[in-house]
Amino acid sequence: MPFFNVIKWIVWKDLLSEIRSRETISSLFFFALNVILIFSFSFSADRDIMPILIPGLIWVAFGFTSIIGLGKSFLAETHHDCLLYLQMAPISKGAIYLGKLSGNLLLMMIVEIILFPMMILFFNLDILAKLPALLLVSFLATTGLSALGTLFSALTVQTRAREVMFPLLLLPLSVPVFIGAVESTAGVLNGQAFSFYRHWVELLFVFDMVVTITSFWVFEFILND
Amino acid sequence: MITQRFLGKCRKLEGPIGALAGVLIFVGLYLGLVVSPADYYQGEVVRIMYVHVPFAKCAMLAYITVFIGSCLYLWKKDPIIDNFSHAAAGVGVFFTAIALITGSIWAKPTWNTWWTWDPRLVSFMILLLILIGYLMLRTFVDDKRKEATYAAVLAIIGFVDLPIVYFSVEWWRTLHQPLSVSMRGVSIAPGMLKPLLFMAIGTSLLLVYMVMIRTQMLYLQYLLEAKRGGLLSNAEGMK
Amino acid sequence: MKLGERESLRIIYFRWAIVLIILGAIGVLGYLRYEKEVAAFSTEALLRERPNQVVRVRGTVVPGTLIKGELESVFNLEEGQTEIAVRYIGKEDDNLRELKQMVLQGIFDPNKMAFSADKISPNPHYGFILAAYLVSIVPLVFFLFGMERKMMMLSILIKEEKGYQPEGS
Repeated sequence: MPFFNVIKWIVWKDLLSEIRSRETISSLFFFALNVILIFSFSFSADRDIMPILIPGLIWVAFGFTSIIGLGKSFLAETHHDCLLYLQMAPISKGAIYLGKLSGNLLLMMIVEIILFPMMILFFNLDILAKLPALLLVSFLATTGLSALGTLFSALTVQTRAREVMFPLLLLPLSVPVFIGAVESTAGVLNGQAFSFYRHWVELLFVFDMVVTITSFWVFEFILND
Repeated sequence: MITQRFLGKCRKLEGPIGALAGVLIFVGLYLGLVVSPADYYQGEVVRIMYVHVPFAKCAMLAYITVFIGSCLYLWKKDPIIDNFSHAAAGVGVFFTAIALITGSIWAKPTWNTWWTWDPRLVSFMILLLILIGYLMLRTFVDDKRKEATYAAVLAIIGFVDLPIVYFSVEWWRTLHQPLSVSMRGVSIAPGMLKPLLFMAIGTSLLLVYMVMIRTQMLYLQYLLEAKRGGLLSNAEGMK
Repeated sequence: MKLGERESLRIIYFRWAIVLIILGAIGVLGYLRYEKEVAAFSTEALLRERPNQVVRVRGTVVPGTLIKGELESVFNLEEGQTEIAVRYIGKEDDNLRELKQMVLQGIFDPNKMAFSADKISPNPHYGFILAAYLVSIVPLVFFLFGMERKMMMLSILIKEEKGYQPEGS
């Protein structure tokens, strides 16, 4: 099967099962909502401090949500020996990785896009004009998280203590994503010119490229063993 | 085949390397604690450098070794190479932890703080977390081949990630903490260079020696498990 | 065969005994050097003992008392409640600042309650140095010794395991 068809079919498969069950998106959405709620209470509700905290708040919420969402990414494949069939299928293993990555990215982006109106509601943010830039930042940061998360999901799915191992591996390595995402989100929300936070966006982009290419290359070994 | 060659080399080299490492470190410690002069600005505290800097360098070397071992493993798929990178990771955790602790002890009298969000410090912290994650992941996988492959993949991803961590923290820091504490390095006088050199070469050799010993230890452990497993399956076959 | 392995275990213990002796010797030498070149009186001990040879004294430069000069500086040094006047004769030193802990070398004059120093240096913080060396060398010794010992034990175990092999197969 041609390379891009594999990606397309895997994304389609994941999306279809999500459309049928509607489990992941709704649970992720409510989880993120809970995180935002709890963190708003844990920090000060002071009107002056809140704008400084919001970028961090958003990305802590998205980060925790991606731990829940991405960690389960390969869990579904273990039912009915799906993983085995994927391993045996005469298709590029890298394409499977890119397919799963795109599927995860799509789900996470949907959750984030539903959450943005909530942010406007809760924090009285005026982000409509800044939405394109915000979406670009979200897209790049979520790609980075998904690229790492998809790989580690495949790594940990067949181990004991999967729930613990997944965040333990994901979080330290995604430090650049969090730094880049929080800084560029702060730049967007403060209405700064693009050139002020451009290097953070570039950082996210470089991270995405490096991690995706490396994972693409090593993913073959995970599935082949 | 590789196993026998590797173990043979280890047995031949470990004695001389270990002895040389020991002698160099003893001389380095003697020079560092007894002979060398105090730094003009830092005073006596500069002596911490003679353990901190070589240990930190060894931690980096150990991680490079884990990375190379992991790449080699994915290529050759030989269990002894896996033992080798596993051993280097164990030694690496040790050196990273000690480098962090001695760095903290050094920072207190010189910068008057135990910890700053300096890119080097944060990278080392992340390095420690990656290595601990690496060792933990290994304990949670039952299948030996899977364990080796997963660990190798994690080591490679971590290795390409670390430079990005370093630069992102550096940018982040220049934005948020306009260098309040001076991170000026020590201007190294010749009297200070000698113990540093002895310690650096000594600990590097010690690292080689430790990895050799630990590789053999892990290999023997694996062998013993395999033998006991073999015995068990034999016993079951007899029933 | 078994005896040979036990023998090599004994060699490891012997080797580590030598290592510990050398480390101890370096430690003693380091301590002697500390006594000779670093150890200093506190200002209180200085008043109590009133030594009449060249000694070192440590303390904090009292703020507001420091008058710096090209070749001579005057300031008060305190630790706890005890304060002494110091006259430092020597080249100007960047390290000499108010509220900074210093170690001075010179002679104490009990009659004038004054100390004349000819050499000054920053606080040695020797406790930190000791801690750093202990924190790195002690675990290193334990770690490496444990590894070597375990390796020997394992090879002994494996040789013994072999003895049972024929029964199984």
